[in-house]
Amino acid sequence: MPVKAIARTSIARNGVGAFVPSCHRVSIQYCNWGGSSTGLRQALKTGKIDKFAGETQYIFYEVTKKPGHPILKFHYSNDTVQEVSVANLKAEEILDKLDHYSQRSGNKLIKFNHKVMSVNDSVRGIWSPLHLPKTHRHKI
Amino acid sequence: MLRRSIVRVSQVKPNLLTGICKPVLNTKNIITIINSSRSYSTKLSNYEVPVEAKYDNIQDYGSYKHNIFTHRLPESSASQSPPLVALHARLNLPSSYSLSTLSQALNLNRYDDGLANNFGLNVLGKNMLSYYVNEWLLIRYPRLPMPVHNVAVNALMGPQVMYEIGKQWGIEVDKSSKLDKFLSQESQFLKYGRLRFIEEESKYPDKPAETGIYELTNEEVKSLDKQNSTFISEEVNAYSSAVIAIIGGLYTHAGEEATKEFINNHILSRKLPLENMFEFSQPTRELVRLCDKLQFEDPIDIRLIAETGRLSAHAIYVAGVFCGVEKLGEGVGSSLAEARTRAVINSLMGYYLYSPIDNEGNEVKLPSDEEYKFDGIIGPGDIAI
Repeated sequence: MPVKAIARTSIARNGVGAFVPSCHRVSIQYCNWGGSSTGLRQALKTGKIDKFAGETQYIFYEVTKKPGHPILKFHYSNDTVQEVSVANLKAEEILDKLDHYSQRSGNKLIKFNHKVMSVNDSVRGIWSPLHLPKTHRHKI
Repeated sequence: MLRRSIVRVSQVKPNLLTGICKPVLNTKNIITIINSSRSYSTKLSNYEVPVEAKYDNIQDYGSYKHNIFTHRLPESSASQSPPLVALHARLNLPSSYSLSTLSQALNLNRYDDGLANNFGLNVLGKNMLSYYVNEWLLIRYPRLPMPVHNVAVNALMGPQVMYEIGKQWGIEVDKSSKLDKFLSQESQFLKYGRLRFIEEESKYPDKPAETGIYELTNEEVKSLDKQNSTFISEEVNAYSSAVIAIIGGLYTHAGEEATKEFINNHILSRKLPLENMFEFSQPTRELVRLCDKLQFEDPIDIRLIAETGRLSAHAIYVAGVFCGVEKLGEGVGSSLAEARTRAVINSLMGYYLYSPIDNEGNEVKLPSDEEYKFDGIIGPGDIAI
């Protein structure tokens, strides 16, 4: 057998070609009575959430009435769910939260201390001390 | 037509209701509430519909028809399913792509309220996909050995990858039973936007699931790879089937150009790690055979280009493969043998992973592109040792 093949799967590059937003479902939970839901109730009543949902057609919104503090639940395509409490927030602040979290990928936020993050090898390659002419090499 | 991507759900917990419901699936699939029954483990009787093919004449295959009556979901119902509308928008599908077809692509159940399933769309999508993937691989990498080509096709359109794509598209599985849907007062339209492959009967388990134990179905047993003890689960298969059927649906509604663009954007844009898919057993021998086949006149010569010194703390050697004055490849290793093998593999990879370019340095055109001109790229075939 000359060459054997090793099974691999291709690696997703969302945004190269097509971009599919990662957040696909948002559950909006509010209380009809509690004071902490005032902002969310107002956002729902004045149609601000409807307008936002119209602009982001790619997200499926669920509105649930449940006693307790109001919560936004963002479901991402990597099977993570982000819960954001919007208790005592004003309608505009809630819309900012919606806008912010619906654009996220669902990955954990990390501090990345390098200049480049890539799935590709460096085009230039790494520097090698052995590829210089013999006269230019470092001598100990 | 009003398309809604927003739905209001009222929260009613199933356990708050006093009566326990038992679905009775006779002719019309109507759910009736029975107060006496107290368990969920009701088997759904009479669910199987016998499939019989009828024909006028046994030899006239055109007259064959089976007696399952299926119909397509009306567009007015489909447009009221928020997950379906959202999926349509998320994939940037053209407006000509009807929501009912998208819903059909997500249905794998044979008897789902008489709705048509995705079998036909899946066959169509699979044909389109395999054509464009194979075309791309054969033209872009004309020298790939056959086993690697097959694995590369699988890496681009195998069930596991299609499952990942389906997940990324945000397709969700319809897991809840009719009973649960009824109890939680879920809108009947929601399920049309979800992946439907679990049969209604298996949504009512006889016994509670044990943790850490997964029982394989017959289909999963067939896909079992005993060496690696891996299998393709029903869910992976279902996602894969739905994604391929969505591509098939695009072809029926928007034509070939749109389908090609969609496949390019979603599947061929993925990174294919071809350089990690080769496994050589005797690389040096293979390289010698390859050079014979290519009728190189000079013999193969592996030479040391540089080294840090044999007595250095971590010796590094750079070896090169030469054929006359041409350098075919180069490898770095911490021993002479390692450097030699790496150099040989590097030169073999340089041959196998060759990708042709045109006069202006762009990638060559594919046969399905406009103004494609056949340039003659028939290789010498695979190397036998």
